[in-house]
Amino acid sequence: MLPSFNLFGLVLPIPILTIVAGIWISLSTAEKFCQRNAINADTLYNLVFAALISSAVTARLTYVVAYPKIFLSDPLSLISPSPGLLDPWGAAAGGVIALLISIQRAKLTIRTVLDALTPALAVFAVAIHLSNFASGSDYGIASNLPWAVDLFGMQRHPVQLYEAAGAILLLTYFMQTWRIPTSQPGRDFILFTAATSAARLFFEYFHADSPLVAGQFRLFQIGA
Amino acid sequence: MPIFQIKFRPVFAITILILGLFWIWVSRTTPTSQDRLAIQAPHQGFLAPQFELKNETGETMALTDFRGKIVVLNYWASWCPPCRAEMPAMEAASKDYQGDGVVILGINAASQDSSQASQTFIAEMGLTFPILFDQLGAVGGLYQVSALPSTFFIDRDGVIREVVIGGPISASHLRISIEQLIGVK
Repeated sequence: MLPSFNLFGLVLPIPILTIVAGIWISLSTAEKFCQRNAINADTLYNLVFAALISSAVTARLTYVVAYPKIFLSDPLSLISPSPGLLDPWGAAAGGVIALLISIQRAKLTIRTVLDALTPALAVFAVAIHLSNFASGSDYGIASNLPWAVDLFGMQRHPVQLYEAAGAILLLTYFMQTWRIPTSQPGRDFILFTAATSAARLFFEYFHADSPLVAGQFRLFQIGA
Repeated sequence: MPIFQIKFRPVFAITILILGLFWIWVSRTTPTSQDRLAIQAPHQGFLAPQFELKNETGETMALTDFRGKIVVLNYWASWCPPCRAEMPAMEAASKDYQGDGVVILGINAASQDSSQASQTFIAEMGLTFPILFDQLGAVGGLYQVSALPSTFFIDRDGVIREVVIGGPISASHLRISIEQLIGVK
């Protein structure tokens, strides 16, 4: 696990910094490939920011609905920057709904927007895996290979780095194809989703903390 | 141009499906082969590292003394402003959830704090929950504390369920995390 930066009393853990940097680089990358999908960069930024703001609000509101008494006794917690009070499912639902509404209002098609967002998703996937490596989350099974990392009491596969390397390979491939104009809207997104799912299916084998289904099958493999 | 001709697509799809199912079968595991519940580590899902420290009267207390209870382990120092800011919420939660088998356990980073300053801090804040003194910084090392305050939520089986690095933790966050653990019986 990597340490945290302490900036004027504000603790900035490296995993969160990695995610923030990932969002920034993702959007910069998406901006470069915007014209290929006939979307204005400003429009794309507006769509993403609407989705991000909406997901933050619904992530917090999900907790408020579940624990109203606690928030009533401490209303300032509504705007607390604590990531622990953000529900991931609430965030996903809010983000998707806001994105769909924004797409409709901008008179765009879902397929075109998803294609335009694919470069951002590809870069963000790399950031997620690096963030997991920094935090020690999604850790690997025991290994005695020379590149195994000492984590949580034993030498383990650095599975987060395997996944980051896989995501970088995918990104490199897509960076080439994204320069070629597309004739099938939605193709980039579907290919990216399929390739990411295949990578997850393969690398999940190396995870030591997989949620299980029926006591022995790995949930994320089945999902992939 | 499509990647595959139409007539090959079903064959390709079925092959991918079979390979996927084969890999899922090969990758199957069991909860006992997932080693985390047998290992002590300062991370979510692992057993909380065991330790023994002395309290202000010199009495030795161990984390195992609290097995069967929910423990909120809060690592603090008197000179740390976020530690000061979150302490009233800790004290209030300690009183409110005492009946639910919840213990707030303060660990003073005594190796980085003066004894007089920490005693003044405890008196000023009116803290009534147990406070232990990490004179050598051993527990800070064991829990890999990289920032103050750091809070670890430990369930009744001694497993860490949440780690909050930095602060101040909001009263709502503290109470919700405790209630989630109370709900898991």
